[in-house]
Amino acid sequence: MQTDTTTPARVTLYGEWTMNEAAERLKLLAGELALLLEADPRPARAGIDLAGVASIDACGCQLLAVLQENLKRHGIAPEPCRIPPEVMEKIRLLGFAEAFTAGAPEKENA
Amino acid sequence: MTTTQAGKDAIDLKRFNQVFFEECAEHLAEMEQILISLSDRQPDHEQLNAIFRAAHSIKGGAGIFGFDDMTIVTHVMESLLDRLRKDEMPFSTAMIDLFLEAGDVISMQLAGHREGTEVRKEAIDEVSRKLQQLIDAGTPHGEPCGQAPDRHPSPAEQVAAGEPASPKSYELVFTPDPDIFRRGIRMESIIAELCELAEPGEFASRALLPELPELEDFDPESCIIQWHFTLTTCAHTEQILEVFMFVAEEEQLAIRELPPPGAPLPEQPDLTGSRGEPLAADGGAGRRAYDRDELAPGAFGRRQSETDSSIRVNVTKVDQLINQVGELLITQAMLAQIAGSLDPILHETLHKSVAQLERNTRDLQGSVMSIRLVPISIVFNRFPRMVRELAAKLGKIVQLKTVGETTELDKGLIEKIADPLSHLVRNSLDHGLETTEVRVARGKEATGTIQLKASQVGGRIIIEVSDDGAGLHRARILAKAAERGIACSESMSDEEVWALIFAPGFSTAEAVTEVSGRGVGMDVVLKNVQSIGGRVHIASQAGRGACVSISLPLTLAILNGLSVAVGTEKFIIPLNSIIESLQPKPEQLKSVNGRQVVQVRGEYLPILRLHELFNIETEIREPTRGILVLVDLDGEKAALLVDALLDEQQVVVKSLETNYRRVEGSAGATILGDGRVALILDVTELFMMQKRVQP
Amino acid sequence: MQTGQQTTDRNGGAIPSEYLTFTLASETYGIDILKVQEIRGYDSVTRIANTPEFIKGVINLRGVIVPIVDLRIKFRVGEVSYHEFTVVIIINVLGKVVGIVVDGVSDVVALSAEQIKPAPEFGSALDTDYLTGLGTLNDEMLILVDIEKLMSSEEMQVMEQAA
Repeated sequence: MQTDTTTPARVTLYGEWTMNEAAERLKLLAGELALLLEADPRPARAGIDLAGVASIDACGCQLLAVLQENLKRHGIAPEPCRIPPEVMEKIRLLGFAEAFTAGAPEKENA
Repeated sequence: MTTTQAGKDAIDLKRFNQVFFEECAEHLAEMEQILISLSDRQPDHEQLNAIFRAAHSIKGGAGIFGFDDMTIVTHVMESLLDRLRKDEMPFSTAMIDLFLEAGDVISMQLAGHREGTEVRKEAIDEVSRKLQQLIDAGTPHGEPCGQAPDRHPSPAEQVAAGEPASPKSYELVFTPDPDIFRRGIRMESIIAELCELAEPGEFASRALLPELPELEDFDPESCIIQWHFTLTTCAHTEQILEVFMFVAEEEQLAIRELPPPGAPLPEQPDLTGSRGEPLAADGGAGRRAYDRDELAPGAFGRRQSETDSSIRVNVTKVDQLINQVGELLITQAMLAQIAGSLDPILHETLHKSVAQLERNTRDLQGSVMSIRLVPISIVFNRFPRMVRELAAKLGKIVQLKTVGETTELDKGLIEKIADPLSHLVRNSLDHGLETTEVRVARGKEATGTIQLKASQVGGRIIIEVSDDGAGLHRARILAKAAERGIACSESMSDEEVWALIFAPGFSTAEAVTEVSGRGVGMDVVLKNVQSIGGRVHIASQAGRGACVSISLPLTLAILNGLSVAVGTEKFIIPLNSIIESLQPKPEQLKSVNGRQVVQVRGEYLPILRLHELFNIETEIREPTRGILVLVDLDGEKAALLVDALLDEQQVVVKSLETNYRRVEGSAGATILGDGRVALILDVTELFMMQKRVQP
Repeated sequence: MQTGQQTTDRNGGAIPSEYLTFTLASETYGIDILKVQEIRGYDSVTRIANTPEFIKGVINLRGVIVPIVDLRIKFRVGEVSYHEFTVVIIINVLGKVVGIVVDGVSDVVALSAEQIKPAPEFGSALDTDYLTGLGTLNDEMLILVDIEKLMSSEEMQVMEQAA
């Protein structure tokens, strides 16, 4: 996972986002959040790129929802994007559709 | 679950009628079984009654669910059967075939409703006409019996059916335990099940975060979500709550009925009835599914007639349960490992508790695995009909015997074994059994026998398909193999020759008949059987018959094993193949034909050196310095040389083939308490590997 | 899902536009990022007997058994050592999850069609059948590998071949 420095404020996610990886993923997200908060000027928006997400479960959705709310609390608008169809289907089924379609276009160029 | 709207409609409808479809299929199967077992004899009263009841139940159910087309045929059948059982009409053998035909027609109608497959009206009309003809012919006064079947179920019947006539809307709020993720519960399955209960397009789920923690302080493995579901469904609240059966406590679920859209939202009473109050909405005792007497009529939406001691459970629930138990086992193993490293005296109570936990887990595992066990009769029951019809086509007289139908095996295996068995039975019918003339000419009984036998032997299930036909033709097989370019020689033992028929593309039938099919050979049977961890063995006697036996593992999921060390690697030996273990004395070791054997109580067991078979470096190369684990392989015995014995433990069997491929000598792998992978040994294969190395 | 320009490779398949780059000895390779599941360190590999040297064995990836292949051994490049910086790329191809050991992992790069040229037929460590082309980025040459084709090939011995 890395923050792509060539485009403004993007958090790119890879791999599995289930209970098993939750603790690891949290650490990464906390790091990403810290970076975003330290950036000067602070970005108004942060793209959350899910193209590389292999699978997600309720725990993963919860984690990403918490991340997004935290971003909002600090004045950064999260923009989830490039969500693979199967992942989106899961997200929808689990009841997180609102959180993941908030204002973001389906695709974004890198 | 990405289904189109049409697909979703089909799924929702299916779920709604699922209970009826399953019961109907069972009644049809029962009917067929009785009819076939008659085999042209007159049925006795009990059998007639049973067939009558089956037809009657189907008619009743079809009526309730509005499948009027099915009520027509069943009604005529029922009328005829009624007269027969009251002795108002004589029975004729032609009726057996006619009833079978009627059963097929009803099956077709059922499939039409269930899957949308084609329904041929001519077949329906034909069968109804024939049945009616028989009734008219046998009725002294020739009165018509075309009474219209009940179209509208009485309110009493409807209540007994346990379903409200029209869909209602509900809001369900689920506040789960924070541990729900750690417990391995998959919310997707639960939500998908809820979705299936709902009318198409009438399901919504929303996940809410009532509190928002700071990211750094957040424990991601804890669940802080509260789910709100809205759904419109014909199902009872009990059915809705039943979805959460293994997952939620009473207090975590709050369900309330919503008024139809447009109406004002009055204060609705909480329908959870957690204190046992009756539910106003459905007019029945409104307790939650899991604290309700499940034997009561109308429980879980079953019809009143069913008061026996079984319940229908969705397979995904059982799988979820098994998954969870599997995870529990792994966690318990890790715990045991950690506890094992602590001083037993200082931590005596901890050790005791961990041991208790192991016993509890073992019991739980046994119970859970047994849920998935079903009797093999489910598969065997397909064959009487098939044998009867094929024998007729081939002009042979055949009787089918079944032994051991009550032998149970894992449901997953049942589905996979059906096709191979089918193929073997067809083979026996087509190639094994001789025609009546030939049999008589050879002094055999005109009626050929095919026997299906199932038994449990030493931790495996053995299924045998045997016939008293001509047996395998050794010379013909060898000739065909040579023709196909398959390596063979005259000096091969009989067993090796029989094994040739497993080679791909092999077939000795002079004419590839419609019965056994082209190209779908024994190689496919072997592959299918091996894919579920099974083995195939053929025995044959020229002129007397042949027997193909399939041996399967009892269950695929969990295994009792002994972990052993060889060098730095660990292996698991299935406990049910172990006789004992010992450290041999030098005088017990002998040499026979250049192979080392160990003498135990008068027997000489060949020694298999695991470190050689698996190419592992180890200090222990001599049996006297290691341990010999004596194993029994379907009768033959051998001794495995290992460095040391480690532990007896239950292991969860993980597939190697999912991402890799079959490893020779192993029947899967498992994950040990320390997180490492260990191979589970397939002792019979090891034995065969050894034979190749040291012929 | 793909948003970059797409052309087809020599086999007529669409060329992905984002690559995860990794090194084997002194050469840099790239594979379609969408096939990459995760990246791990190297540890707790259980050996499997009688397998070629480049198949190191299997690991437990959160309850699933995954084979590990060392490309450095298979293609005989560079020195092979295993330490705390050794990287295993877990890829997901054709429904199977496999891990490949490499010397190091670098960035994810996006390449446009102009930046990719067909691979010449000269002998490289990898058979050109498995290459989707050569990429150029900042004067560096990137050997773009069709990781799905490679991993499913018979020589890798990881997947059962269709009969």
